[in-house]
Amino acid sequence: MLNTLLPNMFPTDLDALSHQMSRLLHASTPFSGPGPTAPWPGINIWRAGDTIVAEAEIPGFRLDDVEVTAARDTVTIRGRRAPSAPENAAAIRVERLVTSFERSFQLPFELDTDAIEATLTDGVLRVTMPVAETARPRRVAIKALGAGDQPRAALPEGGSVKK
Amino acid sequence: MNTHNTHPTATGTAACGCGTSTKSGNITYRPPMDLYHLSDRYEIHLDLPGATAEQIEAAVDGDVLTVAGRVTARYTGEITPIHAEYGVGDFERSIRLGEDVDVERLDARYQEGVLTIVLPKRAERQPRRVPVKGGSSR
Repeated sequence: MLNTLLPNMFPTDLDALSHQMSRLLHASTPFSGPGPTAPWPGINIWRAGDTIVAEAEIPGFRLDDVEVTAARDTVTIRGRRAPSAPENAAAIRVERLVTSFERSFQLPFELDTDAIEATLTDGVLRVTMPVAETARPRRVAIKALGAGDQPRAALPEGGSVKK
Repeated sequence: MNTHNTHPTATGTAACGCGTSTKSGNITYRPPMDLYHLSDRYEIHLDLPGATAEQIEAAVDGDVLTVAGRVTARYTGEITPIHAEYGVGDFERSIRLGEDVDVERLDARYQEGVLTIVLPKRAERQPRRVPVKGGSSR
C-alpha cells in the first residue's frame, strides 16, 4: 500500500505551487508516463472551492471491481479485475499489465466522510471530498482583556493574573 | 502482424505513455496496448480512459490501422492543483496489419475506457486461375 502524503493545504506561496502544478498538468514537453516502478494508477488531486477532488485513470475496471473507502483523513482506492486475455489466445504483445491496485492518500485535514462521492466513467475514477465544516478556517474573535477582567482559562486555587 | 508506431510525431519506447505535442498544443499520448492472436481473429485492447465512443476514430489506410481518441479537457474552471502524477491529452497509435486480416469486417467497441478491436482473419481463399489475355493473332 502506498501512502501519498500531501503538501500543506494552504501554502504561503500559492503562486509557486500553482505554477509548479500547472507545469505538470499542462506540460508542453513530453510528460514521461509511469515506468515499471511508478505506482499504478497515477492520482491527480486538486481543490475546487471547498471541495477536494482526486482522480485516477483505471481503464478496464468495472464498477464492481473497484472500492473506495474513507476514514478521518485518509482515502483508499482499490480494485481488482479479471485478466483481459480472450480464451485460447496467444499473446503477441501485452502492455496493459496491472490487474489489481491499492493506493491511499492522506489529506492534512479531516474529511466529512458522509459527504464523499465517487464516480467511475469511461475508466476515470473521481472522488469528491468536501472539506469538513469543522476543518475549515474560521475567524476567532479576539477580545481585549481590561483591568478588572479575569482570563477565561481556569486558574489553580489562589492564583492570580499578573497585570 | 507487426506492432509498430508509424505516426511521424510519435516518440517513446514501447510501453511508456510518453506524450508528444501536436501543432495545436494538445499533448498526444501513445496508449498501452494488448495484442492477441486467436485461430480466427486478432484482438487489440487499448487503454483510452476519459475518451467517449464518439471521440474515437479507427481508420485503416492500406495495411495500417490508426486509432485516434480525442479527450475533452478535464481540469477546467477555478481549481488549485495539489498533486499531479499524470497528464490528460489525446491518444493515438498505429498498428501495421498482416495480410491475413479481413479489414472489411473490423469491429470496434469502447467500454470502461478500453477500446477493443476485433480483426477477423480472411476466410481461406481457394486457389484461383487467372485467365491470361493477349497472345499473337497467328
